[in-house]
Amino acid sequence: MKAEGDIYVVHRLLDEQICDSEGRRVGRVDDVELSGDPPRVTALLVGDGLYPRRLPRRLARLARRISGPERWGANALRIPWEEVDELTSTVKLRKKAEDLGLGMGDDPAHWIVRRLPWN
Amino acid sequence: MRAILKIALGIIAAIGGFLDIGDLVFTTQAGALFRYDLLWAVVLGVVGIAVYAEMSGRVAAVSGRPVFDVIRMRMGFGMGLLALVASTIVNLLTLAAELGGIAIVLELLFDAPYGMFVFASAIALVVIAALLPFGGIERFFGYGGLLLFVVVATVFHQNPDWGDVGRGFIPSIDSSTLYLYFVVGVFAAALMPYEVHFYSSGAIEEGWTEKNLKENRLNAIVGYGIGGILSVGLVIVSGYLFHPIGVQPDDLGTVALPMQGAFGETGLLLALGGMLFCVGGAAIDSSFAASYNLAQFLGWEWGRYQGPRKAPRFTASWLVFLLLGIAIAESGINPVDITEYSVVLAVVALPLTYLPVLLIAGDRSFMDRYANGRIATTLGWIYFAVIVVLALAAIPLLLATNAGGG
Amino acid sequence: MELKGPRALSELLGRKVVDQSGRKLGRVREAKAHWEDGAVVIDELILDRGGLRRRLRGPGGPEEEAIPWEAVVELPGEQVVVHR
Repeated sequence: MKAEGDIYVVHRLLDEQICDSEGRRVGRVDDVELSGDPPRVTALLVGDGLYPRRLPRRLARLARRISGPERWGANALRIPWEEVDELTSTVKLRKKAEDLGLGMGDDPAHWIVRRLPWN
Repeated sequence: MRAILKIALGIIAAIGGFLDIGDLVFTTQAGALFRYDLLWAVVLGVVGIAVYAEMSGRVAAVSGRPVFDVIRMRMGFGMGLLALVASTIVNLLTLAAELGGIAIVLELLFDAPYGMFVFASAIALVVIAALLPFGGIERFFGYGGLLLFVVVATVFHQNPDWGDVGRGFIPSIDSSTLYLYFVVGVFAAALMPYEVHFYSSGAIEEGWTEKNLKENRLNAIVGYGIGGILSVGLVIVSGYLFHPIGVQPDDLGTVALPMQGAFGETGLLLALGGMLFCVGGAAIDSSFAASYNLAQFLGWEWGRYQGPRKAPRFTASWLVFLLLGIAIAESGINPVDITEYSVVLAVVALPLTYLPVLLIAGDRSFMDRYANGRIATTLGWIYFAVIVVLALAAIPLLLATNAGGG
Repeated sequence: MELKGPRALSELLGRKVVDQSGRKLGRVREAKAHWEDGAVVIDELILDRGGLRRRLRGPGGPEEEAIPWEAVVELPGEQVVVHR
């Protein structure tokens, strides 16, 4: 992705809507992964398992009791930064939702599959 | 001429029901208690919703962001969640009040039990929402709502003292808490946030761009202007009929009495019919607003045009909200009371959803050259101040006047 | 300071920032970064000294202070210690 200049990460990246390559809405940037020195954005994090972290400390404990712990792959997903195509009024990804494990909540087939006894 | 007609029809379709049960209840009571003295508060509220709607529509068209996208993005997760929770509670109460309102009107028209009508009207709404295309829904309730112009006809039939009416448009602050409660109530009933949230989501569904900005402004001014005319009319006809005899209208049937007085059975039927369409439209708008807000905040796929298969969570949440609305409406609480609470709580929560839109509408990095100009900025911040004052005063006044009961 | 392992932005936001003598400088509200070959690289942490006005105005106002990342010394517990 070609872009230049400065970017305020909280103002323009955090909490943005994410869309896949076909324009399907697949969640919001619930958190951002940073690593390296100086730190760079290495992944976007999506999922309701990440909500407790976004709340002030006291509420966070209560929230975690309600939503349960983070389960990576289930209620917390990691989108590597390389999968981001462009940043306009949404974060647009290079691939389709299924290829990244996203959008499961809106996949009716997934609702059924999840409830099968052997899953 | 045809162009004007087309624009007019488009505006009507865009705004849907002009009034909802909150407007019907508060304008009629305000007229009965204070005659024409609260007309200025109605106008203040109507201009307020035009300002809020114009900004929200412009933000949606230029940046592609509906209200709750703006809220989450600008205020962050914590404050946004607070706004979502408050907004959802208000929308649920509003939905219940509107469902109750539909049932009451049907009860008056067809003389059958209320409880049955709540359920029946909810089913009717689901059918309408499922069958009619998005624009069709708004047209259906919008044109039907025009029946309420019998109120305007009643005003001219009554021929009130126009000097007195005129004086009502000049703001005056009475020190009685009941008067102040109705200032808040009448204003808040005109500025119900679900209308604007629905409108902004509708703009995205319709694929609005910068080309739609003129249309947006027309919708805001003329569309809500029509609602304003009807609200003003209701205050006047109610004030003319009820104030001299000291009647306090406490049920929806009373709202239609002035029209019956002027035009007999026809007047009554037109009034009740118009009320039915307006309140029905409001039920659709408030139920969808609740789902739009939830889905937008969480990042789900959303949209009436997407259909249940592409946006299952959005659709499911809409049905859940409808069920909750039915439950509240059937709970035995008088819909007029539910209305009072929904209107008061709406203004208390209003600063949370108004401010982020005002900030983004004025932010050039999002709005480019369509950001708020000097007029919009001034009006926008004046209204924010007004809204904050009323939001702080609302609950104390509600308690002090026992919800307008005195 | 090198981050040991990946960190989440939410872990930095809201942290109290103090200098090496313990004096409070503000709280982390924002991170300013720049684009570098398609990557977003953090330059500065933006603090506010508390207050509603910064929240209202958005980034770039006078109530803010920017701390370059190189000045960050350590991240103990719920704080950010910086060299000033």
